[in-house]
Amino acid sequence: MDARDEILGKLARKKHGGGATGISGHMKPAVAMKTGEEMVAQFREKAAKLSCGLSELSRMSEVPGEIERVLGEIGTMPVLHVSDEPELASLPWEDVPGLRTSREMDRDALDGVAALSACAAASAETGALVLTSDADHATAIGYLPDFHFVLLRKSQIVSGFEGIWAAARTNGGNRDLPRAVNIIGGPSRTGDIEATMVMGAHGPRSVHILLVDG
Amino acid sequence: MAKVGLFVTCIVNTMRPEIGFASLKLLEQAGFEAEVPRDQTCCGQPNMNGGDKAGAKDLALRLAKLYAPYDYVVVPSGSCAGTIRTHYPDFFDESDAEGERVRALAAKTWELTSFLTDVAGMKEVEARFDGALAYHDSCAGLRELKVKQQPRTLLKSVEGLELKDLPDAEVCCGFGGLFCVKYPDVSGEMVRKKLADIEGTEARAVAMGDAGCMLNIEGALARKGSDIKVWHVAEVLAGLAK
Amino acid sequence: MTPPNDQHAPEMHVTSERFSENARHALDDKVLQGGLFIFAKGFTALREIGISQVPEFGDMRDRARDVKNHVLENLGDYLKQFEERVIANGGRVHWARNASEANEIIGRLCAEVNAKTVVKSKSMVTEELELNPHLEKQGIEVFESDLGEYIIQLRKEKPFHIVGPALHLTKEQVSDTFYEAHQRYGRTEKVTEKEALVREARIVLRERFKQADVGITGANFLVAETGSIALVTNEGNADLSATLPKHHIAVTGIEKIVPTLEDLGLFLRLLPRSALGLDTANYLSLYTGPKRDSDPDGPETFDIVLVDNGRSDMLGSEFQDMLRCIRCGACLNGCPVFTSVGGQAYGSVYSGPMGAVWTPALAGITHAANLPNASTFCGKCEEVCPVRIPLPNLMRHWREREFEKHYTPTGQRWGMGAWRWIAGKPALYRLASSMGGRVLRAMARKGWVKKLPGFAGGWTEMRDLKAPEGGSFLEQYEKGRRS
Ligand code: SF4
Repeated sequence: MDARDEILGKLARKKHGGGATGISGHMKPAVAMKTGEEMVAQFREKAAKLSCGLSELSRMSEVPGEIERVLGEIGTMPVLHVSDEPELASLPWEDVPGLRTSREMDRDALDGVAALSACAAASAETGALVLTSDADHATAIGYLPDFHFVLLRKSQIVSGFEGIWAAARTNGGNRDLPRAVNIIGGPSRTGDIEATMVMGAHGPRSVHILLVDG
Repeated sequence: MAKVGLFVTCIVNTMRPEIGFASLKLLEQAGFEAEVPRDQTCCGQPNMNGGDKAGAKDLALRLAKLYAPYDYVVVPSGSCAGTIRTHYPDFFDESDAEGERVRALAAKTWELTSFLTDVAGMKEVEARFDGALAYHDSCAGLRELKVKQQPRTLLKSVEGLELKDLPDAEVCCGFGGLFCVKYPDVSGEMVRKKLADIEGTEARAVAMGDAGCMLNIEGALARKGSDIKVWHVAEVLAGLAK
Repeated sequence: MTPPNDQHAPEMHVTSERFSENARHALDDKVLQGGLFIFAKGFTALREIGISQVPEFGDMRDRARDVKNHVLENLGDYLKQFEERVIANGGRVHWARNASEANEIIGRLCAEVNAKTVVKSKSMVTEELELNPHLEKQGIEVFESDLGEYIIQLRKEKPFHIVGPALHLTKEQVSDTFYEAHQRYGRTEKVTEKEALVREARIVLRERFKQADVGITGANFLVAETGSIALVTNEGNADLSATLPKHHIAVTGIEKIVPTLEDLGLFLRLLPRSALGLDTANYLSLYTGPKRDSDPDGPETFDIVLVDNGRSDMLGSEFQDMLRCIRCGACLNGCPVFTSVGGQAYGSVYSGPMGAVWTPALAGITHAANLPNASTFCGKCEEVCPVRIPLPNLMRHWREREFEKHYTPTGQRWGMGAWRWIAGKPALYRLASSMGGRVLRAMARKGWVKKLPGFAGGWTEMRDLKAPEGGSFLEQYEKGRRS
């Protein structure tokens, strides 16, 4: 008998109580039930707790200038790799002649650079950002750059995991989910040496959110 | 009047009889007539924890029969009371008629301090103890029977007693029955940490609810040459601790 | 549990027979003891603070227990549903009865694509299978990418803790290890600071990620309704392993299923809080099938290896509850034995209370009897377990198995038999306890016994014994004493 049949056969024989133990309903903690301004406020607080940078902007057109300003503070990043999402391409990049943008997304190009991507949602429950793969979004953009900027519209904030799943399913096209759903809770870190947190383990050492009204 | 059968446990019977007499005194103060059946032996905990389920089952049945005439069974030990109250019923299937008597025993069995407060409604005791005392939560009483506030409530009523907060009071002292002789190094390290915490409180004595933990902690203190005294909570509450 | 001649019996190599010896070394190791202090105090405190902010935490634990129980009762159905969704999303599913079979499958998948290098993210199951040596024998270079796991791979050790594999080492030890291992990449400068060590590992491993032919990950959860695997990490290495190489293989135990995304949310709420008191881990990711035609990146193949290795034997047995485990490590951090001796002493990939139950199931009770015995049954593990596994009871069941099979040491077995016999004869019991007291009094000097003979000598190795005063309780009670 092959392994599959043998394992499944054994499980079927051991199935007791007719598998009658049902589970129904769902349980959501209060921290995942905020709405409106309260939800946005909790998102800000939780994102800060995860060591994310945050700039609040009232218009999309302010995004390039703000990125230039933040990168200016860091001081060494003359090129910004911009993901293919349409809302990013249409930003007024011409307003910031000092900042060169690139659309290159291959692994060597993204390694260690500054990059900007959009996202699918963000969660007020934990402060995390949700990035999903599709034709316009390479998964690696959330991992290979050193500085990751994420454009987030206020209306994309959801209260908790339940909202994340809804957003992810919408982006799944004709499949159950997009190939990759990455829920990113701030810069990469490790506590593996003497239990001391060090930022920038394998992924970005900085995650900066551009939170735009609307 | 409700009749209480006191079960003194093996360690109390052999090693620390005073704890048994302190318990009788407290039960009397609480308004109960208590007696100790002379044929009491062991609850079977060593067999249960050593994998000898059949042996433990035999002793459970024996104890259930012996204590059938009493309304309550009181035990000055969290681990023996826990064995009877939380583990005995698991020895028998629900449908097993033999288990009926054992389930009845489990339902009427109490650890001493929780009996005094939760059942007898005692809020204070008539006793005196001069100085600072730390309290260690013995594991089985704490986790199997939720004994936490009960001894503290009563200890606070003892005249002259200053109750000290023991850091990590809920961390095991390393006794664990056979564990301490089978794995002496590990057990030794656990009790070393416990002593450091006790010494840190600067109390002159430490009390607890299980005689096994007492033997361990007082033996380790003696080996170290410390003069911190170790008491069973019943001895302090009955005014027998000096 | 399995007939000994079964060629598909579970397999795992352990050195748990040497627990006492290893424990003694660990207790003498000052450096290790310093590290253990962090676990005992730090991690436990973090967990308590973290969960105190979620008033519903207790209810969530109940529900998690119920969901897992439901899954276990219907495990075959959920696995079939999962398999069907994986295939529908373009992936493949492989089934392995035990370690050899799993290793053979993974080795074959690597050979099919001519893999020279594999990059791995932390997976306890692959540790259990001893996958790395198997692939290395095939001529494949394997790189662990979780920093802690990478360090112990370089040092050829077993993980110290299921969540923090290298937390028993100092930065000096890591520095020496890196200095030696990284020369081959032209890194000749010795770095010593933690930040610099992390940076160096990142630089070295970044190249491995880019070059690797295959990425191997575990899976923290499998979602039946979508055919997705869920990965939980802080470093981002699992996502790089699942994205950059052309081929992604996820290796996982059959018990990791949850029915729906909603259920997954529940477990993602429990896991980081139980492990480290955190609201969330840095990276929670779901992967569903290989790269889609229009995706700019991702692997071309997506293979899932479902490993049984003893799990189906546990199902329906008195050890079934153990299959709820989500590997959060809370029971290790809370355990006074673990925090005294550390993970290495257990001689198994799985240590602490959860390891004391898993290890005998995978390696056999004859090899692992020490682990369920080296517990005081203090109950702290059960108190913190997010899926409410009654760990002390399960360890007790192993002692029962040991006793039934006559593996219990003869002296102890004989002692328990004698005890039960005496306890059944009250007159004899009374006599024995009076005599016992008298013997101890005779052995004592100034009321204290300093040395006991034989088995009981373990007691006086570490402490004295206060001899009883006066007769036994029953003796005095019979004489009429009442208070
Ligand atoms: S047994 Fe419970 S506490 Fe221990 S690792 Fe598993 S889930 Fe966590």
